[in-house]
Amino acid sequence: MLQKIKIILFLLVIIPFGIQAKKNVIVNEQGDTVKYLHPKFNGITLGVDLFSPVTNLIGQKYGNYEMSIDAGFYNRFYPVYEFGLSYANETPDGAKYTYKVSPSFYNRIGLNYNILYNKDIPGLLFVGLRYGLSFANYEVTNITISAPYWEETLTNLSIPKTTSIAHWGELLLGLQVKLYKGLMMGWSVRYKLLFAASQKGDAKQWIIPGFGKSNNPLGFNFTINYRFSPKEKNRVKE
Amino acid sequence: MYLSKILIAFIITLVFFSCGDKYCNESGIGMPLVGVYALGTPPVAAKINSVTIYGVDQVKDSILYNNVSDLGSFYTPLSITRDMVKYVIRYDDPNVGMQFKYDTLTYTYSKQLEFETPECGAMYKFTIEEFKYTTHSIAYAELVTPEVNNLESQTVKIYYVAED
Repeated sequence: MLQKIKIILFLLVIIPFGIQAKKNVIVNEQGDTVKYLHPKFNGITLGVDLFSPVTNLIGQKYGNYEMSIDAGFYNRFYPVYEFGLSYANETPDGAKYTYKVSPSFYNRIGLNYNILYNKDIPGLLFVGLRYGLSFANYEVTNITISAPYWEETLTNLSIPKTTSIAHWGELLLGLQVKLYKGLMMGWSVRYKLLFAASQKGDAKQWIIPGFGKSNNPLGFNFTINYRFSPKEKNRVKE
Repeated sequence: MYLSKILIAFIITLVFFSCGDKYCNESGIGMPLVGVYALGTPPVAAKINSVTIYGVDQVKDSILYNNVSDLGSFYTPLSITRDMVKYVIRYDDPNVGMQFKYDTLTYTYSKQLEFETPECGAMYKFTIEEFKYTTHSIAYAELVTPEVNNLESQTVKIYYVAED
């Protein structure tokens, strides 16, 4: 119930900024008033996330290796598909276990909405929605259990590998800027809501491929993208 | 102005949705909590005085509770290498006769290794399959729940005849 209230409050904060978008009067070369500055199809963009690989280099023991593909329409709507492989080999500080996820596939489908769609600027400022689905093989190893009163300690215990399916939703805010020709760079901040994660064995899922840690709803991407654009026709003036 | 409003809104949102509590609120090992009651209709919570409680065959013969008074409840940790433990309750009051001096609580149980949360990590979940007790001073005892997974709720209740 508390999660639902948070989502509603989030939407109440974000949506009014979309509604406030100033409606510009667009006039084409023939002098007609049109709705969109940009053509119907803006191109296809391929992207690679760099955030996880960089954090892995500085010591993080889990991460996603992710790519994306989207198509732009009127520079306003960008349906997107994201997919990747995720893994984990995490021993939290002070913990007496290691949580392992075998390289597992995940994917998300969604839509980005460019708030500044009728601006003649080299980039996007977008809000987006995602639906994610992932499959994981995971286990918990190197477990140490102690019973201090009985002076007993058991080490190298493990919970056998099991499989799980998880699905979730994401709300995001992001930015992409054009660097040179079709090359773009961007970032997005995400709030994630886990709908469900199945559990077959004796271990609940903690690090979920594509989602991250189940107890952390926030995510961040940093991407390098390349847009394959069709040649522009009948450029309109604002 | 427009862009700054969006950024401010999102920063507020991130702060609002920041991570919550990160502590373990479950016991890491099985520690059945035993509550003390006086027989009656209904039974009432009670306290016993001058008691010593220890586990049988504990390696260093360590005492868990040493001649304590006003004891209304106590923990009886389970072994992780065995499937049965015994606890002795010794009444140290010199006025207690020898035939009433000792009582024993015996747990027979099974355990299952589970991973619940990253904060608690992996732990054994204990299930008590059989509970036995002696009735030298104890009038009656009952196993409230076979699941041992919470430090706050009583697993066993023992009842004494109240002093006049």
